[in-house]
Amino acid sequence: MPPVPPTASEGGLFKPPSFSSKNWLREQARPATPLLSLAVALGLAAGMLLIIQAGMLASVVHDVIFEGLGLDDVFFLVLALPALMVARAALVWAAEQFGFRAAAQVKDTVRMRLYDRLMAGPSRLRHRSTGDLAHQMVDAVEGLEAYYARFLPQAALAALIPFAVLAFVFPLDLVSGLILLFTAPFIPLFMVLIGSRAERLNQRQWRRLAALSARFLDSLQGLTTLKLFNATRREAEVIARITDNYRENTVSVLRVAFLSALILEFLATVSVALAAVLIGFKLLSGSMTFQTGFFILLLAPEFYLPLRALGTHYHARLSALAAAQGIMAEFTESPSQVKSGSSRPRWQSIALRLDNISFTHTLDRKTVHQISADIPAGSLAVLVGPSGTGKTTLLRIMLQSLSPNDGRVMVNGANLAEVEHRSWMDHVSWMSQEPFFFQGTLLDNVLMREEADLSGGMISRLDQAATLTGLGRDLAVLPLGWHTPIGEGGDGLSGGQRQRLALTRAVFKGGALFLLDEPTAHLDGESRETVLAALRSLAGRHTVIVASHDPRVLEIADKVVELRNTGSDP
Amino acid sequence: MKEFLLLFSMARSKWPWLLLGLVCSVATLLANMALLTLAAWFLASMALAGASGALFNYFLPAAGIRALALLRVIGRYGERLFSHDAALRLLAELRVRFFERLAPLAPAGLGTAHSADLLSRMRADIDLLDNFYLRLLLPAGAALCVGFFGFIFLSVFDFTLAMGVLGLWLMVGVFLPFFVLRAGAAPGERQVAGLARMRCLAVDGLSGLEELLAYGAAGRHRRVFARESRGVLKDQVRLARLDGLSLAGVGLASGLAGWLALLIGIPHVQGGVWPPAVLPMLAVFALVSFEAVQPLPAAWRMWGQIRTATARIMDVTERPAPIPDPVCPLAVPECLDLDLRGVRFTYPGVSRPVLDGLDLALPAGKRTAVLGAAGSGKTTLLHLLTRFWEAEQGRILLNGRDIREYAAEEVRERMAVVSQHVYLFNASVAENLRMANPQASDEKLLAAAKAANIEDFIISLPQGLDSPVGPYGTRLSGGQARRLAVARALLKEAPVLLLDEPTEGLDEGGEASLWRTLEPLMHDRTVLLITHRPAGLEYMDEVYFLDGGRLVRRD
Repeated sequence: MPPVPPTASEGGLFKPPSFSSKNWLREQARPATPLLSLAVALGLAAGMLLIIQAGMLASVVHDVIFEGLGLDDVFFLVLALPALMVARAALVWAAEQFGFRAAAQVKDTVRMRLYDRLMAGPSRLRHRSTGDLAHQMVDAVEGLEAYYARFLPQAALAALIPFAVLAFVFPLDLVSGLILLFTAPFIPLFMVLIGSRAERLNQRQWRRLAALSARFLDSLQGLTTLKLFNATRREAEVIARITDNYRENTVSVLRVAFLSALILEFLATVSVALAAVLIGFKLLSGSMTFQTGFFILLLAPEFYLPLRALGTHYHARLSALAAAQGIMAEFTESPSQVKSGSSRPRWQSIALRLDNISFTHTLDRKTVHQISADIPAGSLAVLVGPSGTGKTTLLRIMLQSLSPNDGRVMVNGANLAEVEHRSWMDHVSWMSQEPFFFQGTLLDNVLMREEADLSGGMISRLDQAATLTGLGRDLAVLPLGWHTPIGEGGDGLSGGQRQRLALTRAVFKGGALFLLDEPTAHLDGESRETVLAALRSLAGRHTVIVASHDPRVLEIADKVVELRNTGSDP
Repeated sequence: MKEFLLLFSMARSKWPWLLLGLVCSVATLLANMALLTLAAWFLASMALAGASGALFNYFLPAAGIRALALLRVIGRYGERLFSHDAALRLLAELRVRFFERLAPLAPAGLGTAHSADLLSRMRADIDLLDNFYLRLLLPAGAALCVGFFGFIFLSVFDFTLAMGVLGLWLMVGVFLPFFVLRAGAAPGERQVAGLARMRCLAVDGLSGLEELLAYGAAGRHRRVFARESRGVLKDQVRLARLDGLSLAGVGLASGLAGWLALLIGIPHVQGGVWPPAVLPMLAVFALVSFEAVQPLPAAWRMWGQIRTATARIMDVTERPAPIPDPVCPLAVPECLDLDLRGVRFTYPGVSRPVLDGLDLALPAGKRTAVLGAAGSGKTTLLHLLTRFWEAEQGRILLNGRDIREYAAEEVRERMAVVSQHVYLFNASVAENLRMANPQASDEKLLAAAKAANIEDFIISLPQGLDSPVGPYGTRLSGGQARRLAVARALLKEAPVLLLDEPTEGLDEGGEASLWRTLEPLMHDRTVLLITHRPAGLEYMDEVYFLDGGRLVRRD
């Protein structure tokens, strides 16, 4: 059985812009095909039982009314009915589950693939809102569920069950059969006609939802800033406006969806009514038995039921298509621009040569212009220059987060572009200007990789690192010490403490190369001297490259790399 | 229960629309029941009339069947439109209220709440609540009404049958939902919480990607994320099993009701108690009457999720403001003398106070600097003045009156802050500047930018003032962001200027030039500079050291 039987709604009558996202959605269903097929098979079996049930019911009623039989005469049928119902209930229960299992399987695969994709390269993400990306990873993937769990199995049943019903009705009564046959195609036809419009509206709506999420996250993260400017009430007004706008748009999408449901309902209900009246006249004229007429009356709603159910799940399909577009965009967007090779060297010490490096980012206008320098192993090198000359950018190039437009970084004589990213990361201790911390304990944020299970040797190494950077003094006054919890982004720590914690993390890792962005920012007097002493003692065993405008760092440096303004702006 | 009442009372403003939705829903359900019941009776009567050759007035039932068909179609459309519109309006209102309640809590009342978690509450949790109205309240109300009419109809023919069918309705509409609710509550709650944790993990992972990669923690993060994701999926499959149970249960009960009608009806027909046509009529009636109760089990299954979401929303909206405004706040004078007396402050969860017995006078028009090591409580001082936190001991006097006698917002209105951590919104340069002064003209913005030494840069951008700064201002360098923040503070035109390390992140040349531009703006303003660097001190009237929670005057 194919995973998706073609219904007219899926056919080629129209070629809406999301054609490829339909294909994408179906492609994702491939690994779950066995589960989906099972769900459809069970659903079909349940449908067949329902037809049999209707036949038995009609036969019993006919026998009682027209043949004058009593309960004893039809006892066997009356007894068989509940058994049939229980069997049907079991089938329905199982079918529902397999559909959801299939959806769970697809969601898991898609989500982890998306995760791997988004987490593959940092540089690509720097201009995207994390709220938007998190939305794709979590909520957009959730938005796929109903499509696989409900729409796909229902689409198959909508194609199969009506035919099964027709197979019974046609031999019994041609007219009723024709009414059903001719009204049925209108349902998918109208669904496509209205659906393609609803689909466009809905896609726009989904993009709006992602934008709404990003906007809300920005408001929440900047809440203190908003308060400082007493702008929260203004922001509340903005939020009121955009939510109201969003609501109006949602209602207009729904109105179209409801219209399609209206037409569906109209066709289904009116044809049942029409069939009933026509059958009534046949019965009056005696050209049909009551058993047949009653059987057809019981079957007629069942004929439309799968199609109507498909209509209710049609919205699920639209949401899934829109969600799929967002997810697909993440996959089709050009991959990380960082060129990373496959060689996996293991270096004890690192000497760097910057070979005529240039970097221009059109968005940032952050520019590095033809920088060349030799940084011997074990030296303490400082990148200096006015702000905006690309000190941080140069560090990120050495971190392999960015690739230079021109020039090369040579590591111990090998081109950095040929070194595998993961292997390079084993060599580097990185500290950014705004160090990132997870919600967790101080310990979590220093260990990063290991679980918080500590041997004595590890503790002493941790304490050594903390003493070196001056974090030890902070730890001494914290009642929970290493286990002090911190909030998102290091909430609860002062600027200096963040700096020391980030440096401790770098020292604890002890990579052959330290890349430190402004390690003495936010520090003063004594703690600055501690950090300076730490830098000095790190150099020698490690190569330390520091971006700084602190004159005291310059004083202790072995090597100064000067970055200048390029003069004329590009 | 608390949650139920809140959701119920929230709906007050929209009850006419919800009620209209209910009426349409009941009409739709009854029309469908009547349609098929009438049709069954009509067929049987026609067949009987055909067999006996008796006369039968078929015009009325035939017309009735067609009318009911139309009523059903229109009713369904009306129900959906009215109820969805009302529910969406309720959600929009709630979202704004959530933000309005949240704002006074920050930062002291929020603790270490993750911003992505707050986002989950504001977006996804609130979105979930439409289920309460559309899938729970309305169908339950409709089922109640339909059940009432149905029971009366059945008892006209046979009371035992009416009781039996009622029992099956209760089974599907009450007992099954109750069971599903109990069984689904825990996984439902876990699912909501799990999804919220996943959003936090995703935001964390994406912003800390470089750190994760550099410290080899990417694998650990992936494992944690995958574990959360699979935990959620597992719970969803568990919930699906319950959904399946409901679906199967409804089908079974509906069949059994039809069967019960046969069981009771056949002897009645044979005994001549019922006219023969009543048997198929009631059998069909019993079968289709379950359309009304059918959505209930799945709806109640949602209750676990709805309750968790509501509780998470209430956790924010019902939290008392940490710094309540006085009932009758004093008017804040134009010209401010600030005086801190014996102020003591301890951060929650920290054993030692960061400020202890601090005295500091900030007379109007004077410039004061407070020097101190990192962690000595300099920034805390600022948070106390801007009323983000409340001193635990001692008083802050504003023109001789306790600062608590004024509204916090009024106090902040008089203060412009350039803080250590600049937050820029993912919007244009102009929008970020206008935060301080929404009515400011472009010329005024550029004048402030010129004062902060960033006008040239802004003009050089392709879209000028309308250029986007990127998320968190990432398209700007640290120094540019700082200058923009200075310009923003200047636009506020407040008599008190609070500078918290205003030149951090600038090189020496930039530092000096920023101080030169700040100088004229400090005239006629009360200035408090908080720093650990000696730069800028020459512009100050008084310089103090902050040490051990107290101030020491520098001579």
